[in-house]
Amino acid sequence: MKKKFTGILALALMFTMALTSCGGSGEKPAADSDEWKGSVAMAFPGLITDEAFNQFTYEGLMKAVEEKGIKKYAYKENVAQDEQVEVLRQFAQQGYEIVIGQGGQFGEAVSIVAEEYPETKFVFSVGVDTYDLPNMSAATVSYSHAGFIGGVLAGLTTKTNKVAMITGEFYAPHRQMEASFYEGLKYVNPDIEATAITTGDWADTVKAREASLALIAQGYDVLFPCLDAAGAGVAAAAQDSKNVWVVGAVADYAKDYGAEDVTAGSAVFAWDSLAYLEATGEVCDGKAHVVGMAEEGIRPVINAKLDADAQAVYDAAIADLLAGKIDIDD
Amino acid sequence: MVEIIIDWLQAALRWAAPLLIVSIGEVYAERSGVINMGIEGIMLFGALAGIAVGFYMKSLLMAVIITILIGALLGLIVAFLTVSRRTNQVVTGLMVNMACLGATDALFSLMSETRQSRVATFPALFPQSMHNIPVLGPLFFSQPVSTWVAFILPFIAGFILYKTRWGLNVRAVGDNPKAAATAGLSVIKIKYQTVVLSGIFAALGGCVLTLAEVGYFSAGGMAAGRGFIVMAACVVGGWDPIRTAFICLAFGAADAAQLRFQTANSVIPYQFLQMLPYIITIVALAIMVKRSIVPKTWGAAYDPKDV
Repeated sequence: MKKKFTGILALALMFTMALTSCGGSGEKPAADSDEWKGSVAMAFPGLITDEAFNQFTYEGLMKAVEEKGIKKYAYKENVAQDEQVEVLRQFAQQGYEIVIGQGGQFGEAVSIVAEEYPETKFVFSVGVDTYDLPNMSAATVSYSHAGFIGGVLAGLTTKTNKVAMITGEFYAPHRQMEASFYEGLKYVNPDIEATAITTGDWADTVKAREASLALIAQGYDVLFPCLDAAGAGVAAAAQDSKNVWVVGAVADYAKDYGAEDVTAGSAVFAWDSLAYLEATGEVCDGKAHVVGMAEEGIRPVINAKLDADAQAVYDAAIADLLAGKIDIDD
Repeated sequence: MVEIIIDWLQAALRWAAPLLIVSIGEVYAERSGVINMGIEGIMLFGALAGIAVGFYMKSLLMAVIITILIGALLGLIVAFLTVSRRTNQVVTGLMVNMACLGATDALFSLMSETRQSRVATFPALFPQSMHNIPVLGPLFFSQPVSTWVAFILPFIAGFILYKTRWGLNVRAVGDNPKAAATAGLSVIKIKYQTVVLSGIFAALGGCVLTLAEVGYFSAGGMAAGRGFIVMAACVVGGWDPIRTAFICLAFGAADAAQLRFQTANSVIPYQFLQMLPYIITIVALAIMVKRSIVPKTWGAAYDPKDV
């Protein structure tokens, strides 16, 4: 009986722990100040300690707050779909000048509240739709630039001249990314054979590994994953095979998954830069913005040692990209 | 060509191993009349437990032991709700799945160190020298210990279910609990046993998912519907451990095949290829259902006072 009781107690504790870590608002009381330099509020879909999207965008917000001396700011983490409108409305009521819905799931909610508060500036982050509202802007990082840089790095890395992209599903940005990935490969060597496959799930690490192994068995030696958490599976597959490299996208594969041994480089989505631009009011003009290489929305990280020739090709590719000489979407 | 086939079969075995382990427990639970739909969520807990214990305690044995304990605990909750409280089994399962998804994601976000490093995985059962034997080497000898266990378990489970007194009791409880009770069996006790067992095996299956080879956990539901596939396999396999295992293996083979077809750059849209394993399951379900004998009180609540 005692055993059973301790079991139930442990379980109750576990669940309380799980629940409390989900809840809890991170709102900071606004400081009264006479040197007011704009005010900003941000709603996050997840926890700001997730070491991924939420944390990086939070760090971008904090950087803006420190560098620009923003005295009045607020944020709320773990905002669920049904709370979005309420949270954004609350920010608008409290008089924040810029209100940001951080994440692609905020589009509808931002548009609803933006209509109610025409004096407040709203930003739909990781979105491209402004819903034709003059006070609503959208901003996202450039999937095309990431694809092109990934393509160049993959082209410079491959020995078998066969490379592959792995993604969860092909939505519009991933198609853009795929097209510019091929463009990047072509920039290095037009003879490289490339393919792209989907796993159907962004978090299924095991399936990502299986998909990678299927490609490796067919002679593909550079893998270009565009996945969420499942990306770790691609790194694992490369580690379990010989002479296979990963060129990461979105995350920094060497750092985030501890896969320095197999990562040639990564086209990292600089979520912190995106949030920084949003919080400092750079993208609040009622238009849709795509933040690319020039504004540091994409941050290339190179882990493999490139020889002089490869480095020259890479540098030229980046220069051409920045100069707008590469024919890809934004 | 031969290499491609061997590679594909090897992938099918790897893919099926966690499903097989989960299916063992589920077959027992459903045979006793209880549908434990919470196995999807329990798998997530097993997957996380494997990684967390493997990372902090550096011991695979401890990982397995703790996974078993967590699985038993979650199984006990499902048993308490569905057997003692007689809640609807489908709704209970869905609730358990949602709670487990949220809880594992939240717990994982507290263990950020585990994200950046790969945890040691189950070793291969046979020495490295045997991995290079043609055909058999890559196919069998290079598989981790968990895959071997997964493929031996259905035979043991089948033996217990058909050849032992306890197995007979489980089947009796599922088919006619009143008669079983009249004969002096504790129906409630047996249902508890099978549901706890299904929790244990679901958690172990999850543990195998992360510790067989990948060595990473990922937030956002990395079980990705495997629990539901197992439930379908139970039905198609007629609640027989070996036939169910065979269905799981077929599903794994179909999925491994579609991943290989995708690179062919054919005119078939990739979405269709992704659907293929599921279509096969549905077709099999339609064909086999007629022939399989459903446990007579499958999914029904049992009230001992109801005579």
